[in-house]
Amino acid sequence: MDHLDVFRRLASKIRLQRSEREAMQAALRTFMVRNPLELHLKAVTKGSAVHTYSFPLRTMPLFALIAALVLSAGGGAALAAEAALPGDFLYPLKVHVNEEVMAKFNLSAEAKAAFETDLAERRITEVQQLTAMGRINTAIRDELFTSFREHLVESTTVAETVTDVNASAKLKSNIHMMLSAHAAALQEVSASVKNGPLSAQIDEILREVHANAFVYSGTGIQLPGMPAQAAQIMINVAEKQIEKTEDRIDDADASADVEADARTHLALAVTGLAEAKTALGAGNNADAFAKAKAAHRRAIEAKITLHTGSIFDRDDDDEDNDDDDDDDNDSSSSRSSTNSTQSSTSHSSISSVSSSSVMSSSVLSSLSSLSSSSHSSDDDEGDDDDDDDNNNRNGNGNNDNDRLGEEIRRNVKDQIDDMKKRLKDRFDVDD
Amino acid sequence: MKIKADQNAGEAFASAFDAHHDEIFRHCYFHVFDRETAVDLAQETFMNVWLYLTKGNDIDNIRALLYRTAGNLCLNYKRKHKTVSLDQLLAEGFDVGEDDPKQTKDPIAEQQALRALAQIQENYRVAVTLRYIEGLEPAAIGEITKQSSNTVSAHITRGLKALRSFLKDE
Repeated sequence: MDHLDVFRRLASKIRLQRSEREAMQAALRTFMVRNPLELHLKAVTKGSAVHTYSFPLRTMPLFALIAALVLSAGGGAALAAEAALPGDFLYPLKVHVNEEVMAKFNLSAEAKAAFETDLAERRITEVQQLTAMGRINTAIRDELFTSFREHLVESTTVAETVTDVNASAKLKSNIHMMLSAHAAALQEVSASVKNGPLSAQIDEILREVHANAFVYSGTGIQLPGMPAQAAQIMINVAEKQIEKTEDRIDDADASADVEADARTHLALAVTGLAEAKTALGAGNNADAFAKAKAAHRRAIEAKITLHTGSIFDRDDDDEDNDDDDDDDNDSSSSRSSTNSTQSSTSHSSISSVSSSSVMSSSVLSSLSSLSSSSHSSDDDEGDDDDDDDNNNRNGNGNNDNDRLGEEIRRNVKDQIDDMKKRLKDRFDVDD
Repeated sequence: MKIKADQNAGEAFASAFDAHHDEIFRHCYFHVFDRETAVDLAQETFMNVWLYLTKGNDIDNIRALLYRTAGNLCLNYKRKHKTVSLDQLLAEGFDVGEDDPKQTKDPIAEQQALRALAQIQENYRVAVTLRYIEGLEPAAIGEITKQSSNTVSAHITRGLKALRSFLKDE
């Protein structure tokens, strides 16, 4: 029967549109948060989450109270918890139920990285709110800063694994955007409340944001006490990258040669990291920062060595874009040395976010270590391990990147304006 | 797929949503033949099944449960809203969504197929759409409709026969 074919075609036509699906997903997510699994409530009431959760004011009776509240008010409590701040009754519900449920919806690496950036932003916003309300103390602030850093590290490391080059660049620029928007807005507030009672506390937050902006995008203003902070954050980033790379090497089924090569790079990274820690301990912050950064680059090189190696091993170039664009944290020295080639070869030339010239040198080094005779160290060739593909894309690539860059700049501006307004409201600052 | 009502349930449920949202939407659509209503009913289906999970119930076959829940919700809906008039639909045509010129090879044939589908008996329609649009085997359909695969096969055959006669009349 001919019409069976028509029926099959209908299947591809009668489906949710993207907007419908996203709306449904969002509604469902809210619904799930409002109606958590009973065992989630039990977990919170039993305090099994207390171990990982150590904000002050957290006592068993408090959990019992939350449970009573949740059970009596139903899902309303979970929704109310969204606005909770550290120290509030419902804050544990926000972090351990709401955010965990939301996390379940982010299955792809891309969604997960974006979500981690959101969480980081939630933490830094909480500090600002508490400060504005005069409810901040050192312990809570440190706790929130730690969580802020952890989410940023997670976000960056996950963004490294995103296959789509543009998506990966966009994710990283989102981190940059979020940080610079907060930094710009805080800067303004800080200037207006100068010498006021909140001034010191706002500067504290500003320093943390700047330190992170410095690490993740090479921008940010040097403030007193920042180098130590930045060095510490860079060490965390490198540590996480080493850990992830180690897992990858363990899991990969690369040949012994490639694996040994990757491990050599990784060993250098580990040594570098240890040196960075020692330098930080000795109070040599700038040195610690530089060493941690180098260690981070080594770890990424190890990953690329493994990746490039496996491609050549398997003669399988399907997934070659996987990790090839990710070196946004690297030293400016190599950026300047290959500046002329960067504009023509980079995938992601968003201003101040990515420097793929570093990429080309690390890919080159891994390529040449694989087959020193067949690849000369020609700057123009080294950027990607699939040259044909790369050349074909270049025509459109720059336009795309320009557009992306323009879009991001616009977004940053909008976000900064919006955030300035909100911060001003929050801190009651007159223009 | 099985889903246990434990700490991984949220994740498992989210992937069930990813895997089945379109077919559940279609299942609803073939009951009510109205896009917007079908979207609402599909959403309600997922919410109901999540509620079932939150009560601590394990689910053996999430797909079958989703289909069954959707079917029941649609029947309830139709019982309450008798306003969906078949005559009106037949006169105005079916709204299947935005027209993608690449996909629409033969819009007239699609409308014809929908008209024929809308006119055949409910249980035949379920059997035929699940068999030929979703590509389910009679045994899998039986799990959803709680019928034996023989019954399902009979419904498919009769459904096709009915469809043919409607299409002949066109």
